[in-house]
Amino acid sequence: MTPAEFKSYYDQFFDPVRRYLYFRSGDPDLSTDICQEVFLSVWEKRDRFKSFQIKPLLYKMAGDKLNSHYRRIKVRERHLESLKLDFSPDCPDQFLQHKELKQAYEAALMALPEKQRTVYLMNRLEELTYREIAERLDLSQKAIEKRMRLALTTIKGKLKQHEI
Amino acid sequence: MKFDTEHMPDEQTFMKYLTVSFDQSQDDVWNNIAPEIEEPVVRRISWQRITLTMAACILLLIACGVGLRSFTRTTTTQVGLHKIVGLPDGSQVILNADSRLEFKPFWWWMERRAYLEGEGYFEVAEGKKFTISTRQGEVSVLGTSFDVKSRTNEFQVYCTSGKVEVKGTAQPESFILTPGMKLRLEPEFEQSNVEEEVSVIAWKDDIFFFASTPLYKVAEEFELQYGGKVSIEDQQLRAYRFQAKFQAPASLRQALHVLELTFDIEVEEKGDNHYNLLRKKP
Repeated sequence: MTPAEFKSYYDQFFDPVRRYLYFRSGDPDLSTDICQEVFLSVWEKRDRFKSFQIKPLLYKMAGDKLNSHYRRIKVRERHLESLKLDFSPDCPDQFLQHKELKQAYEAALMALPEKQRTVYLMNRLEELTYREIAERLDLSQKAIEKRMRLALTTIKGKLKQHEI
Repeated sequence: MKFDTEHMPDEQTFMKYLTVSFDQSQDDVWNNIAPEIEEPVVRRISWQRITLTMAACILLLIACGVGLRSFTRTTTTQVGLHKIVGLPDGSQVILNADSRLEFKPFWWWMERRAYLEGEGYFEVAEGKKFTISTRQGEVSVLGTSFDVKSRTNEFQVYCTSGKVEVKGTAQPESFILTPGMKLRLEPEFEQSNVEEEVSVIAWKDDIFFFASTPLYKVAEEFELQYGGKVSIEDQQLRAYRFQAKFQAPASLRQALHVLELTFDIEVEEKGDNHYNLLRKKP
């Protein structure tokens, strides 16, 4: 792997992987740190990787590092304290009014189990297809579909409480 | 998917316009780690470079060799002086007056070779072949003692122990000398057994040995051993033959006194260490 090749992987995957970490942890700084670690260790071990494995590998490494971080700081119950979403720069005005809606979503997402939330956000925010998510997380498409279904059911229920 | 949008038609669209923001952008983080992302430096060393380096090394070695080879130590003796020269392997040379010995101390382990002008008595330690080069020829030995005389028109080698090989510059064949043998190549060829060793190498013990030697030669020998000048103008007197063996006296004047006692001659002092020999007027 040359520095140029590494840079192209970095450009393609840094933010998606970081967001994946954020979807799981809800901690932006931690996500950034871990993601940086992931890419550095990919560079250090570059000789052992074949390029076609790189995508699931990045997610796997990111997930593992996050788990071991949790293990290290001995957080038994990982409480998601906050999950903040922003309106993206190209958001139409009509949605900018919907602050409450956004907060309702954030609350609903925080109530979701981690695995469902991650998959749900990867699909909705990252706009990845189920297949793409399955590939990245090295899961079956069926598992993704199941997690999505469960996540949507929960979110629908939560949003109904907000009477939207 | 089929089941998702019915009850909340906006969900998918709405979510599309949400995003996550971080303090550090992707590019900020890249700047953090960029210094570590570097191609390990692979030194491409061209063959030309290797060849050049090797050539330089070889040249350096040659230069060292040449340097070691060409470093020369020279010992000279003036008239009236003997010197003892120690060689790196413990061999020893006693240099007679008005002689010069050259050798290469750092090349000695490669080749035991010395250059001689004049006369020297060699005591060679055992070892590899030891060669003495002179203008008129080469003398080679393994470990022995011998006397080499290479004067202006005289080349003579005398062996006292061991075996000596002599090869003249002019002659194609070489001669092997065993103890007691003397070989003269100049002025005329002569090979002989010397009965009295002292006759050849007496000089090294500061002894004069003359065996029926014409007086002018005696005078020359005195000049060599003391410096100064001894002239004999009388042709008859020049031809007088002198036979003697005696410890060299301290001065030229004293040496000439030995002649005064032997012959009916007078020593005329001309000053500045110059003496003239005259027959005594009756």
